[in-house]
Amino acid sequence: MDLQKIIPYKKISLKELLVPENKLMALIAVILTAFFLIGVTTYLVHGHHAYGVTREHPWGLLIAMYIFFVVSSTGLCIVGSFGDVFGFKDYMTVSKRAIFGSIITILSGFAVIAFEIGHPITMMIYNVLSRVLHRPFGGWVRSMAST
Amino acid sequence: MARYGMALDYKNCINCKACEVACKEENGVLLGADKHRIWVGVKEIEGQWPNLSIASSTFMPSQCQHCDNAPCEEVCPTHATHYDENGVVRVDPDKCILCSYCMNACPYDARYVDDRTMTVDKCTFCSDTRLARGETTTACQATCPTKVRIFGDLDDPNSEISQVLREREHFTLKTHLGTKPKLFYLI
Repeated sequence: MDLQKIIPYKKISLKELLVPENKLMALIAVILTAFFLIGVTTYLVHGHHAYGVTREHPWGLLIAMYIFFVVSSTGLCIVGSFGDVFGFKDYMTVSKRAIFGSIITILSGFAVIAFEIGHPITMMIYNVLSRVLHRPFGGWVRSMAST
Repeated sequence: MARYGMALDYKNCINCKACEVACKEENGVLLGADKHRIWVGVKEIEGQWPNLSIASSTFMPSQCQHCDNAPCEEVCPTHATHYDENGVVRVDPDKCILCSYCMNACPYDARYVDDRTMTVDKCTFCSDTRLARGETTTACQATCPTKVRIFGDLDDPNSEISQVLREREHFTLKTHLGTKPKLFYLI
């Protein structure tokens, strides 16, 4: 079916579009998008007060988001395990989707907590590494990190 | 090592806020940071004018209680909050990840975010500043015009604070929480 017959429109190629005015508009669009992205990043990294967070009440919206994602992930894991681990045939159909969803939500949760925590890299070192490896080896990691 | 504590003869407090100013000056708390690190709580006067109860208006100078069983130390996920060798609850700025868990956990609301290092900070009994220089008083104690504060070693039976606590009745804040604070309010 020819679309030209139903809705008449002017045929135009990409080369014809590249006139100076359009190039200028494209440049302005790119610059504004860059400003927008910088603004969003700055807001998330440095704009904690925007979530209604104060000294007396230091946890706000991002913690709720983090809990939402992480608990969703846990729930999806449980639903996924009904079919895969415990062998309920009825749940087999959703188990793949549930596991995929749990991976997506846990990654979202990590992204949110990275914005909430003031120093996410330090968290990786002192919370994840030195806790998992415990004292003797953790002390070694700690000394490596401090040098 | 010492086990530092502070006794507050709080009924002598006149709410001049010299301690707040001295603390900011000594420990570099930024301007405008109201009720950070150290503060004077004010109890409103009870009754309706003209029947006001003058005796009901009291001032409660307060700061970090340096609990022996500190909730903030318990919750810290990276062990940044720790007890130093003098029993003072301290924060290691290299380890602090600014999760603000300790600010939530503290029943006395004694913690704040230091804008210079972007980590949580609190009263340290001037461990980094005055005590490190060899002085034996804290900035708030040295400046207090009515001598509300007595700072010293609780383990030393001859120190002024030990003698005062033996002789006078005292209470601690939110004792029922079992945090064992080392700030004592003298009656």
